[in-house]
Amino acid sequence: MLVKLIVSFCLLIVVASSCRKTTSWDTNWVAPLINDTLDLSNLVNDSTLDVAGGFYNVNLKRTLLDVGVGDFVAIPDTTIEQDLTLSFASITVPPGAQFVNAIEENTFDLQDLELKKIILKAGVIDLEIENPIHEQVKLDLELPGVTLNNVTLSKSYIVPAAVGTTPGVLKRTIDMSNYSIDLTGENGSSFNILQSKVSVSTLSTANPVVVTNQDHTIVKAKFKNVVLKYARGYFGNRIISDTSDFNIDFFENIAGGSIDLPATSVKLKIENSIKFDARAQINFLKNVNHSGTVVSLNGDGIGNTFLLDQPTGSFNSLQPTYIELLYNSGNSNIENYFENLGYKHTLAYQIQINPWGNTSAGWNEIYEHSKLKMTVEANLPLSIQADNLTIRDTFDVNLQQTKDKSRITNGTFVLDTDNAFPFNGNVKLHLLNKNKQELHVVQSSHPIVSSLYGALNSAGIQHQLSNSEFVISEAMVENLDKVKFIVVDFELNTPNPTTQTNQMVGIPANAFLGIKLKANFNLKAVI
Amino acid sequence: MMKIGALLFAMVFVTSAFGQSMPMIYDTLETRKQEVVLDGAGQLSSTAVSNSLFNFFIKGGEIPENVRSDNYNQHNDLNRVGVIAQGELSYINYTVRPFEKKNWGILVKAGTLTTVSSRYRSGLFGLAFLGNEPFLGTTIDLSNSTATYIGAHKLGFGFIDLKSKSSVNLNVYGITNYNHGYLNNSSLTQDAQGYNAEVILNGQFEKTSRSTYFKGLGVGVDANFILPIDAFSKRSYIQFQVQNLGVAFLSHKVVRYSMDTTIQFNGFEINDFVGDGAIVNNGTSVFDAIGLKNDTITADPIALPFSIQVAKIIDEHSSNLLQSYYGIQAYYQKGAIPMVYAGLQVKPIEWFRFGASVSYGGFAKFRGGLYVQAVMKKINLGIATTNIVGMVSKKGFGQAYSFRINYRI
Repeated sequence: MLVKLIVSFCLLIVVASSCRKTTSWDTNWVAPLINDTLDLSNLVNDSTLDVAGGFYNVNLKRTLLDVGVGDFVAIPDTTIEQDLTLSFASITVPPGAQFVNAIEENTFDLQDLELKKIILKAGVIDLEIENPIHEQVKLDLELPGVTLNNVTLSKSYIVPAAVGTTPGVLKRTIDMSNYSIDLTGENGSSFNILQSKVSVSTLSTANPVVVTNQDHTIVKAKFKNVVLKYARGYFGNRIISDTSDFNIDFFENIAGGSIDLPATSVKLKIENSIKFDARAQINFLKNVNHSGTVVSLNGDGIGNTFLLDQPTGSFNSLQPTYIELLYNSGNSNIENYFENLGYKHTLAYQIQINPWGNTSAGWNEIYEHSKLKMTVEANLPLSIQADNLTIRDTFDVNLQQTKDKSRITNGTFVLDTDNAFPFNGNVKLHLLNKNKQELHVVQSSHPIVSSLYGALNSAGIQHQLSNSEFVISEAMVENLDKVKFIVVDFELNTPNPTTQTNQMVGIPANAFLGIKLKANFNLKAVI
Repeated sequence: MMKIGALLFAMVFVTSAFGQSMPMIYDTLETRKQEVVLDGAGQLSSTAVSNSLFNFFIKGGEIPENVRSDNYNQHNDLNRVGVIAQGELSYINYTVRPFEKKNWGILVKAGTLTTVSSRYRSGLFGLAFLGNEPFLGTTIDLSNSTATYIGAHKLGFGFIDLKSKSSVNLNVYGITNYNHGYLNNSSLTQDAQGYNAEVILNGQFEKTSRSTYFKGLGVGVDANFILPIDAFSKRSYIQFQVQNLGVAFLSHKVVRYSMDTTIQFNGFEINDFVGDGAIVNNGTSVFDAIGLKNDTITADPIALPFSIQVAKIIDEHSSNLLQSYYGIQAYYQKGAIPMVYAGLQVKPIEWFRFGASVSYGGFAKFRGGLYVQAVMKKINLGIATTNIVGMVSKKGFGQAYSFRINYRI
C-alpha cells in the first residue's frame, strides 16, 4: 500500500509539472534616452562661421594647396668618398711628415636641379676614415665653400693605426645645421659641386714607416637628413599637378528636396613667395551630390592658364604675390554649384615651374618660409530656403527578443524639443529588413515647429516648444528581430508663419535645438 | 477542484513537516519493530501578497492589472515572503540495536529541502509588477531588501529511542541551488516627466558559477528530544526539535555582483549614438554603466536553512476528548520572524482526531490551521493546513499544507 501511495505521488508530480502554464504580466516603464542641445557654436571661430548683425555668416577659409622648400628642392642622403693613394711606388715617411695632400670636387646627384648655394636648417655628415698604415696618422679635412659665420669648415682627426691587414678606422659625426654651402666648385660657375681638401701626416712621435701606392686612405662623408632653409640655382622645368578631393560629409545625408541660397561669392586665392617663373591652371572644380548629379564650376581661371608673378625682396623682406579668382552669381554658376548640395568636391590643377627654361641664369630662390599656397574663401550670410529638404541617416541595428520570454510588447518614443532654428522638421523612421526592404514606417505625430512660430525666451532668443510621439505598435515589435536597419528621415522646411510658404531665412546667432527623448514601453514579464 | 489541485500541488512540490500544522502524536508504546514515515509539507507565505496573485504562479496565466495593483496596495513599507518545501522518507528499525545497553533503534532518512525567503520594500514589488511609470515624481525606497534561495537533498543516519521516540540524525546535504542577494541603502528617484532619474544602489548578489546538479556539500543534524513534564497534576510532553542545523560548502566558486554607486541619468547625448565612439559600438555594457562589479570568488561556508522548535505535543494515550498543543518555531531564514502557535485537538473516536490552531509569525501574520488524522492499526494518515483562509479564499496570504503517512510493521 505504501508503495502505491509513493507511486501515486510521483505521478502527481509529473502531471502537475507538465500542466503548469507560464505566468505573465504587463509592466509600464519610462526611460530617458537622449538629452542634448544641438547648436552651431563649435563651428564658430574656426574659419567656418562668424556672427554679424545677430545672424550667422559663413566665413569659410580652406587651404587646398600648400607647398614649400622641401617640396621643390631636396638633398637626398648622399655619400661622398675620397680614395687617397701615393702617385709613386713607395716612400719611407719620417715622423711628423705629410704624405697625402689632395683637393677634389664631388658632385651631388640632384637630377634636374642645378643648385649653386644652399643653407642647411638641419643635417649631419657621418664621417668614416680608414688608415692603411701601421702608425697613427693625423688627417686634416677642409671643405672649401662650406662656412658657418664666414668660417670654413675644417677638422683634424687622429686616426688609429692599421693592425695587420685591417685598417684603423675613425668615425665621427659633424652637425651641419646653419652651414652655408657654395656648390659652384673651384671655378665658381658650376653647380651641385662640393669641394673637399684632405691632407695626411704621421705623428711626430711615430716611427718611420713605409707607405706604398697600395695603401688606400679612404674618407667617406655621408650627408644625412638634410633640411634646407635656403636654396639658389635653377629649379628645373617641372610640372606639379594633382587632383584632390575634399568631402562635405553632412551633404552625403541629403536624400531629397532642395535649397535656395542667397547671392554667394567664393574667392580662390593663390599666393607665391618662391622666386621662379611659373604658370598655373585649374583644370576643373566639380561636385557630385547624393543622387549622382555633377555640377562643375564655370568661371575665370577654370581651364585657362595664368602666370604667377615672382615675389619681391629677400629673406626678411620677402613680399609674396597673389592671384585672386572671384566667383559670384554674376560671373559664374557658383549658386548652382552649392545648391547642388554636393558632398564630394574635386579640384584638378597643374603648376609649371620655369616654363621657358633657365631664363634667370640660375637665380631661382626659395626660403624657409617661401610657399606656393592655394586657398578658397567664402563669406556669405548663412541663409537658406529649404523645400522638403530631407536629411537621411541609416543606422545598423540588431534587436532580438524571444517571444516566450520577458519582452517589450509595444511602446512610444516621446520627443520634446525646444527649437530656436527657423526650420520646421518632420521625423520619419523606416524600419528595414536585412535586404533593406521596408517593414514599417513610424511617423512623428507632430512636427518640430519652427522658432518663427514661437516667442522670445529669457535669453532673448526666439524659440518654440514641440512635443511629438512615435508609436511602436505590437505588430512592429513582433517584427523587431527582422529589423536590421533604421533609416531616419529629417524633412526640413522654412515656412513663413503668415503665408505658410517657404522663405529664405537667416540663422540667428546662438540658435539651438534642445532635444529630450524618452521611451514609454510595455514590458511583458514571463516566468 | 482548484482547491484540490492546489492541495495536490503543495503535497507534491512541498514536502516537509512542520510541527505546528499537525502536532506530533506521542506514542510511548514499545511494540513497534519497523516503521516507514513519509511526511511532507510546504508553505507559501507572505505578509502582503495574497492568493489572488499567488494563484497565477501556481496555475499560470496573465495577471490582470487590478490584481497587481490590489496586491501592491496591500503592502506595508517592509514585507516578507517565503516558500519552504521539505519532504522526507524515513525508515526506522527498532529491532536493530547498535548499542547493547541502550534501547535504541536506527533511523535512516532521505529528503529534499527548498527554501526561498525574502524581505523587501513595497517599491521593489511595485517595480517588478507595475513598472516605474506609476512612480514617476517619487522616490522608491529599495533599502533593507534581501532574498535567499537554497535547494538541497539530504541523506541521514541516526538513532531513535524506542520508548521516548527521541532521535538524533547526522545528515549529509547535496546543495542543488544557492542564490543570495541584498540591497542596503538603495533607491530610485524620478522626476514627474520621466526625463531624469537618480539610482542609488548598494548591494550584492551572488550565485553559483557552475551548472552542475550538485553545487556543494554540507553536513547537519536533525534532533528531536521529548521530555515529560508534570505540571498542574498532569503529565505533558515537551518536544525540542532542531532540523537541518549545519553548514554547507560550495564546491565551485560563486559569481558575485556588487555595486555601490549613485547614478544620475537624464539621457545620452547625440554623439553617443554616432561615430566610432558610439556606445552601441564601443562595448559599453549596462553593467559597466551602473558600476556593477563582477567577481568570481571562493564562497564562504553557508548556513543551512535550519529551524528550531519547542512545543507541547499531543499524548497519544490520553483518554481526553480535548488536548491542547502549542509552541514556538524559529527559522534561520532572511526575512522570517519567530512563529508562535497554539491549537486544540479533538479525538471523538479512537482512530480519528482533528484539530484547529492559530499562529503568528514566520513569513506571515495571523493564520488559522486545521488538520485531520486517522490512526489505524498499521497506518497513520494525516493532512493539515496552517492557512485556512488561504485554502479557501483568494484573499488569503499564501497556502500551507502538510501530510504524514506512517506505516508500522
